[in-house]
Amino acid sequence: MTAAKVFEYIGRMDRRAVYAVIAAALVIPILLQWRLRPAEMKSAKKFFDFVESLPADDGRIVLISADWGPSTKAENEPQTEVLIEHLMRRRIPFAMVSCTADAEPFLRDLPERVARRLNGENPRERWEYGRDWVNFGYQPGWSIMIQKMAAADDIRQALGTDARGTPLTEVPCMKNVKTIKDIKLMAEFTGLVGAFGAWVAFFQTNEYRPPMAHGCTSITIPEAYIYLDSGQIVGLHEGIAGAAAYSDMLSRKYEGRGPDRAIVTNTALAVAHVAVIVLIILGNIGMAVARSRPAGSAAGGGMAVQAGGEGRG
Amino acid sequence: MSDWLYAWLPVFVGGIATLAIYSFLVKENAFYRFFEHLYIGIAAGFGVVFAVQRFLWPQFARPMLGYDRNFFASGMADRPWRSWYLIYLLPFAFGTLYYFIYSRKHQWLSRLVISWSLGVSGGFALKGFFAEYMPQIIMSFKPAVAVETVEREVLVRFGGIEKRLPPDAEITGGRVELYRLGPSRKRLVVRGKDGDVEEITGTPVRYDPAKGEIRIRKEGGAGVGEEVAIKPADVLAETDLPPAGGTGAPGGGEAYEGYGGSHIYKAYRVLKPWDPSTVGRHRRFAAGKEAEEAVKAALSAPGLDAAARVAAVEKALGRRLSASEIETVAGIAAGSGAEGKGSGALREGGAGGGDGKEDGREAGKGGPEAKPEAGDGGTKGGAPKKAATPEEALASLMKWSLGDFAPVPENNAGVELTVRRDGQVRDAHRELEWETAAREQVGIKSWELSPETLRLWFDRPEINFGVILRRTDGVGGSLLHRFASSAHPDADLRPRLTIEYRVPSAPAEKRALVLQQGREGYDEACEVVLVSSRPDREPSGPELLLGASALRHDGKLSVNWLSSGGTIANWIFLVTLICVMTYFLFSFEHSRPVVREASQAGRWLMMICFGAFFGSTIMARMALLVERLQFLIEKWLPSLWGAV
Repeated sequence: MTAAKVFEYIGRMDRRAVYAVIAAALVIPILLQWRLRPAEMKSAKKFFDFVESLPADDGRIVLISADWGPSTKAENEPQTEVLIEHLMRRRIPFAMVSCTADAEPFLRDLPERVARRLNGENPRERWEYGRDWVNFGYQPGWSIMIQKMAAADDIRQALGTDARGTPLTEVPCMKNVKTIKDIKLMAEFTGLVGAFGAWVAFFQTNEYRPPMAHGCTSITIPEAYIYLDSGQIVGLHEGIAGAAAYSDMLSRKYEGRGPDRAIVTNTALAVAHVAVIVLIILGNIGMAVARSRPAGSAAGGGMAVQAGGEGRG
Repeated sequence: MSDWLYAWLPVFVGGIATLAIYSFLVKENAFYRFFEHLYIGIAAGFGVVFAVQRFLWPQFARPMLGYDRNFFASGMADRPWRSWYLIYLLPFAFGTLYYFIYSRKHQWLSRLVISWSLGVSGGFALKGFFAEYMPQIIMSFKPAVAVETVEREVLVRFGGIEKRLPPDAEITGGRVELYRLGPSRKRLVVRGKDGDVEEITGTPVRYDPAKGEIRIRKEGGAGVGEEVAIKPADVLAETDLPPAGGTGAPGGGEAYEGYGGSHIYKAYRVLKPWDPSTVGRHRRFAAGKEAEEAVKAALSAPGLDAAARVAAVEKALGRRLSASEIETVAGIAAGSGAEGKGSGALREGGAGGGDGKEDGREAGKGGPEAKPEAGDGGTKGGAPKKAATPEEALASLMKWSLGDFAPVPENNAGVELTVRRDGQVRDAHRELEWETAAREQVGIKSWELSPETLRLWFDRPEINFGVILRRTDGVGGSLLHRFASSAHPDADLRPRLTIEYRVPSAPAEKRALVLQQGREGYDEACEVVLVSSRPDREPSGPELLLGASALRHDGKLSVNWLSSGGTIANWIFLVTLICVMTYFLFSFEHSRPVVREASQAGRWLMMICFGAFFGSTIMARMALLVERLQFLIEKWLPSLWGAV
């Protein structure tokens, strides 16, 4: 078989074969738990540095709004998880909240999972619900709820109880938290278009707007950059790559830190990207070869079209 | 058994469902269709339950019916139920009008609800528009040039001085010290086994994989341009040093390396209280400016005698004036603003009245070290002084000068860095030892404070607003400078204020009071270090696409056409903009070669942009696939295998 025929064959490759190649490119790094060091990202570094600069014991909290569900879990979960871990390691108390009902199980499980891991790594220390974090749960109303929190004279009274039904006035880490001024960082993670905009627009008073950070899915990065450039956010997680870069910074800061999934996911994604690029190049070569042959002798070019059509799903 | 089943069943069903959904990639099939419908049904059911459980009951029915009250054992409630709670039913009933959308005859009723919802949403959108978009609009007005960075300030304040110094202490000097934490780019200290210590600063370090060597080019001194090759290849991960940057400090002041350049921070006493959570550059300087205008008016006001002018200035400043300041202000009054008519005024820092008298309020406070500022023409001990002009007095009073502070270069400690995580790295072949440190650190940076300032803080703690360390000059640009704060886990690295003093009972003995959070019981928690940036917003200087800024610290535009930080990106932006506009907007015939080529380029550039966006789309979809595969491989398969 000549090289021209090989390229021609690749150009006519069935789309299911393309899926199989991509699946293999993704599965192998996961099976091998392959961890390539992620690229440094300026936006994630800003995020990390800002969290590093936060005082730990001033009685104020960080508010994390996890406005995501299973549909964007792949990217938003590692983003939220690395921030939670960083805050826990620095003993900065935080509150979890969500404007989407889908996030409810993650609000509960994610901090507990990180706490279990940290408790395992550091047997002499304890991370506990109530002292290190609190779960406000799913709060309906979105922009109305955001405005209610921002304007509240006492956020604890405005929200009433945590997700477990405990009055917020009795939760230790909420002891000194009354108004929006007691929130030293507001971090929002979502894959929904416009979700973060509601926080930017409404979570403020005339006197104070907490510093904000954002984690978005890859598809909304161009939008999120506007907030970063305008200085409305202090840091950004750009998809899974941002989470992986943050995870890498955590590993460099905390010796003996156990592995998390962000870097494996990012590695698998990188391998799959290479596979996609190679397939696109081969497909286009196949198309060119097919065109250069006399009409009617071959049909090609499907590869490039099929690869291009993938993203519309 | 049941626990195992509860743990296993969701994973099993999840795995089957995942495979079913992805089976669509092969072709449309019944397996896929079933699980698609199942998913939609579950989502709908979940939504109903959530609406009732999380909204209708807790936020509507429960408070309306009074079930959110607490009941005592006797059956009494902690508050009475009031019938006007039923007013909740009105908006609820109004909302249910939405269901008339299914009635052809009464459909108009649903439009009421829809129009209400749209109106509310429109109102919110308008309300939120300014908060969300105005900063973006403002920041979009950026010049297409690249540049230097804007300055960042560090604010430091120590409290409790008056509680810890003996009342009769004679303060002779002091300094504020901050520990600068290293940025991600670091410098190296190389220690030879023969005891030599070689500090390599601002040095490019690169790795030659072919030889397995790290090559370091030394800068400065006799070793200019000399390359040293060493072989501990596994330190690579941490040796991403910046290109060589200047280390000089033109104009004096405190200098240290930032990212690829030296920066100079100078210290200013803060005149107004500030809230570290909200303080911003503009607000703070506006406060300073406001005070400045008030003082200026008080100094220039006609027809005031000395006492009235002093009172007016004190009111404007919000504090009492020192003896020398009173003398300065009174001198203006005596001279009626005329210059050169000696009333013996001294400028800031002067001690001893110009006419040989000392104000009783300030006696002894200035201390023997207090000096008249150079150039003020004054002399100590009673020689006649030149009267200050209102402008000179203003400069003296506002203290936005450097008179109080001077750098302490000997405290610029050497630097150490973390070379790798697991400890020291040695290389026996080259007799070099890479010293590692537990922390990324650059060293203590120190600024001296005058005895007058410290005495003032001692006497008047209510006007101790700390100092601002403000970047005033320097080479290169960085938006990030990190100092250890008062919450730093290592107490030795926290901000430190040292006050040197003597007591009358032992005048020859020099003593020092060190205030540092966590040290010797000092827990005033008053010192605050703001690092990196203002916490609530980025500096207002226009930043360019790649984060460079167009404003210098003096507010002037700085143009550096050769900078790679922002110029290239902005030119690319500009060219793309013109080309794409040519392609789309200029609907004239593209017959001229320039227009035609620009239009073609616009089309290509646009395709590149679409490609980038398309890549993001692919990435998001593929990330989802990765997550599902991880679930299948790490949870489902082992679970299935265990079950079988």
